[in-house]
Amino acid sequence: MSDSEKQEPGILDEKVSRRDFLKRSAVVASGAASLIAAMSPLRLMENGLSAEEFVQNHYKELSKEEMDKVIARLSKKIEERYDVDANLRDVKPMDGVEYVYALNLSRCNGSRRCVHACVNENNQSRSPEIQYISVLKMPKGTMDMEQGTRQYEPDEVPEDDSFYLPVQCQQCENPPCVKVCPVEATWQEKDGITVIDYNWCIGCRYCEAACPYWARRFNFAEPEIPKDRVNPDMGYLSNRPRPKGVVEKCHFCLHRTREGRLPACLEACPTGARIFGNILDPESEISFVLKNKRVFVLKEEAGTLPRFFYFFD
Amino acid sequence: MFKWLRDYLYFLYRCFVISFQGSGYFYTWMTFLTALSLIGLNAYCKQLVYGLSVTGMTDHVSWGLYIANFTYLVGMAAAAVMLVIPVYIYKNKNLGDVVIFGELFAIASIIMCLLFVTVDLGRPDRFWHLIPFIGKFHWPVSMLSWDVVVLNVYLLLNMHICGYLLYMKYLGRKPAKILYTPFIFLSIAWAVSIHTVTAFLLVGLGGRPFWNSAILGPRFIASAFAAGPAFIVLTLQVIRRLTGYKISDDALFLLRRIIQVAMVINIFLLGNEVFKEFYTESLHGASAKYLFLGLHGHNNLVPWIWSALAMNFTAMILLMHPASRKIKYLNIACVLAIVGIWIEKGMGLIIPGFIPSPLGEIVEYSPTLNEILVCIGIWATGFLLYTILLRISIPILKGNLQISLKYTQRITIKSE
Amino acid sequence: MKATNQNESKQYLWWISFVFCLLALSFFFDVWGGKRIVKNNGSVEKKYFSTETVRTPLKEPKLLKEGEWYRCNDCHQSIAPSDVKKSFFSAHESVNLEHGVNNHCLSCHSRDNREFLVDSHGDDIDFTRSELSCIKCHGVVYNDWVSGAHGRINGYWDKTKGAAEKVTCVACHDPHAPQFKSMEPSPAPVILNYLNSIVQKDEPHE
Repeated sequence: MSDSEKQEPGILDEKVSRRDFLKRSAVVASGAASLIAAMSPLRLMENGLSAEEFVQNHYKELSKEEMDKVIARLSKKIEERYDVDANLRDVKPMDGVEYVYALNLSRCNGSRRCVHACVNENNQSRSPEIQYISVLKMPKGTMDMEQGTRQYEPDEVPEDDSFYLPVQCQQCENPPCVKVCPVEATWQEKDGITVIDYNWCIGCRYCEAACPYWARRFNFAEPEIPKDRVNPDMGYLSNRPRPKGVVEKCHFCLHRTREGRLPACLEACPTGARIFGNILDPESEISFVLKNKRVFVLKEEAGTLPRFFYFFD
Repeated sequence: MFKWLRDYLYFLYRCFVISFQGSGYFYTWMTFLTALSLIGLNAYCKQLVYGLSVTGMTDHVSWGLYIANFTYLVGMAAAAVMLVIPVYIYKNKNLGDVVIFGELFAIASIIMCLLFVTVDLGRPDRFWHLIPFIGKFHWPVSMLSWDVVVLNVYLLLNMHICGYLLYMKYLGRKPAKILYTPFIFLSIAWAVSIHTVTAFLLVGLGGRPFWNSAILGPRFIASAFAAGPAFIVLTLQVIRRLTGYKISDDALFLLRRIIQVAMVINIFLLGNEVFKEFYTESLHGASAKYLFLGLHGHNNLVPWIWSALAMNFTAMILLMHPASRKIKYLNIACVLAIVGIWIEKGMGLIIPGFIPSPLGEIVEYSPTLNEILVCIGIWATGFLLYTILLRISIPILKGNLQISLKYTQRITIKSE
Repeated sequence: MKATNQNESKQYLWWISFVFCLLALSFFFDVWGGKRIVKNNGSVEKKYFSTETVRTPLKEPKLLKEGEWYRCNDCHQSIAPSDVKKSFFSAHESVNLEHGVNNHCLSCHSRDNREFLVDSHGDDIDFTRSELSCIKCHGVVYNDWVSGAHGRINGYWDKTKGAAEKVTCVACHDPHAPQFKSMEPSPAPVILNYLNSIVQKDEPHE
């Protein structure tokens, strides 16, 4: 088309006038200035990323020494941030144990003590608010959860014509969340608990979309935990303070249960509606319930095979 | 010895320089797009600092405008295949000169897709976790891992095809068929696969009955093959007007045929879906009810989906009507198709999948200003990239940008 | 692209610089994008996740009468045991009896020694083992309680690591009015929405 394009358009060859050069540099300079100004919000970034955190490997690939280093680094951070001497440890699953949870719907009175015990035990963010357990108030005569609500605020519970259905992570035997994670940041351990490596999760929220029980929560902002409510008894895969941008969920309080204790939600339930234990032990309370009560699971058609059973007494 | 490398680097340098050259209109357009991209970057930096709480997404609707745009653009990228098939399989002459614009468009679309996925991540610094063998890549179980693979390979395929053909034209050499024809045929199948895998991302979720249906894959393909060629129709006219590059009206009318058929299939599949959701009155139809009719007083999306349907329907009628044999009406139909399918695929698909939540709760979604700015920024970046690619490729195709003999002679003289 | 006069065409370069400078300023003054709004929820009071039982059962047999505590035998030592099958409350105003069809005191309380309860054989049960009296009518629930399917348990599920502390019936059920009392629920969840600082609440439907 034009001759100027047939030549070599080299800045080196072309004779540039001083005015031209000024104009061009003004554009480049102002362009660079606007680029840097555009990125200026980054100066407000708190909790910067350290090099060790960036290259940290997946939980399953960490050797014992690497794990110790990670725990030391995290404990230091927790101490700096929350002024608490945390007992952060990597609690391994016990052998010959598979956890199952049961809930007696004739006893649940919708008190939500479990919800807040869990929040307190597991260092969950208060602003934005994260709660692993959702208690649905359901009208009697239906299991259609669309007719239920989480937003009941009467003076006293239980209310007439209602029953209450607490839902949390069901630790499914066939978990859709584990299937969909693109980086294997979530997996199921041998004792049945589906765990998340908070330092591996990339925050794509595919697992949150996949869960049929709405059990997963995402940290949309930096979690805020009041200093006086920090629980120093922490597990690496469970209730240590999570960073922003990762997914979390109920983990059956594995820092407690893997040491033989009961989960926090169970201990707070005022009516004793919750039952937990090792299904592989035929003498356990949970074995008794599954053998003798008419238990059912939620959304059985989804094929998830939950380890959370419900029954009416 | 490394003359080929030197030539290639010089070619890249010339491409770089030429993308900064043009008329006043060109500069205005590029500045406008750069400004929008910078605004988007600024908004994204705020998102990096404060987390995804600056968007309108919540635990209920955990995917929003970013994934909506991603889904739409994967379809657009796949639509390049609608230019490739007529030329390479049916040996159509009219489209021969414009295939490359479709493939360049695919490159820009895929880059936009990758950007949209990146801004959606809660921890983009952990991107390396997705790299096979370096991170932990959950392939073949996770559909998202499949998506990462197919999108990146499709990008590489198109970059190779376009890069090779353009460079050969620049050198004035005839391209070797073995180095591009197999890739072209692969890209035909691959284009369908990228959009099918994206559909499977949603279909494979048993807890989301709105998505868990076999019709999603076909709907995706049909709507992509309506919206993509529509966009190309408009782009070709812009190219024709601004650069004088020869594009015959027959090319546009062949694309019209393609959009016609795709749109009819799209509407037919929509009808199928509406019947399935509403006839049995089962509880699984709650999301569709929310989308089309509103649910329990929540009806933010109802005006959107009905306008989208009106646009798609009008586009279909217009395309079937002989009036669209006039470019003016064809353009109107294309615009209607593009916008209508964008709404249908974005707001009409992603958002209702989350409403009601698996526990029956309805929390509606509205994007925040920050989120919208990031989206605009990414779209502007894509357009910027596409303009640069066109700015480079059109002179090459016209023969105006060629390796000059003077230069080659100079080099050979020096090396002697 | 159209051929352009080199000198003339570069005029707009000044305009472009101006636009970029303006843009840089706008970023500096944070003109674009919305502000982040997160509802500031505080912590809830500790009573909302307490692990205490809803009642504190009496540890010894005593009665509150006119503001003072009396052991049962303070009075009953000198009162002859009655065979009348009626309920007789005038001396026990602080006791509210709503035990369904069981409105006969001596169904649970020992006739001869009011500081003991009585089992189905008529033998005395120590006051601190009151569940053995409840067995008489509530056998099914008692079975469940023994097996751990009814009632609260605190402590350990793994008995080899620690104790599973069960509580007796009266820790939750007032023996005279055993129906589990209504209670104040802990606070409801907040559904966050960042849309223009309007916090959206999901209304209960149907």
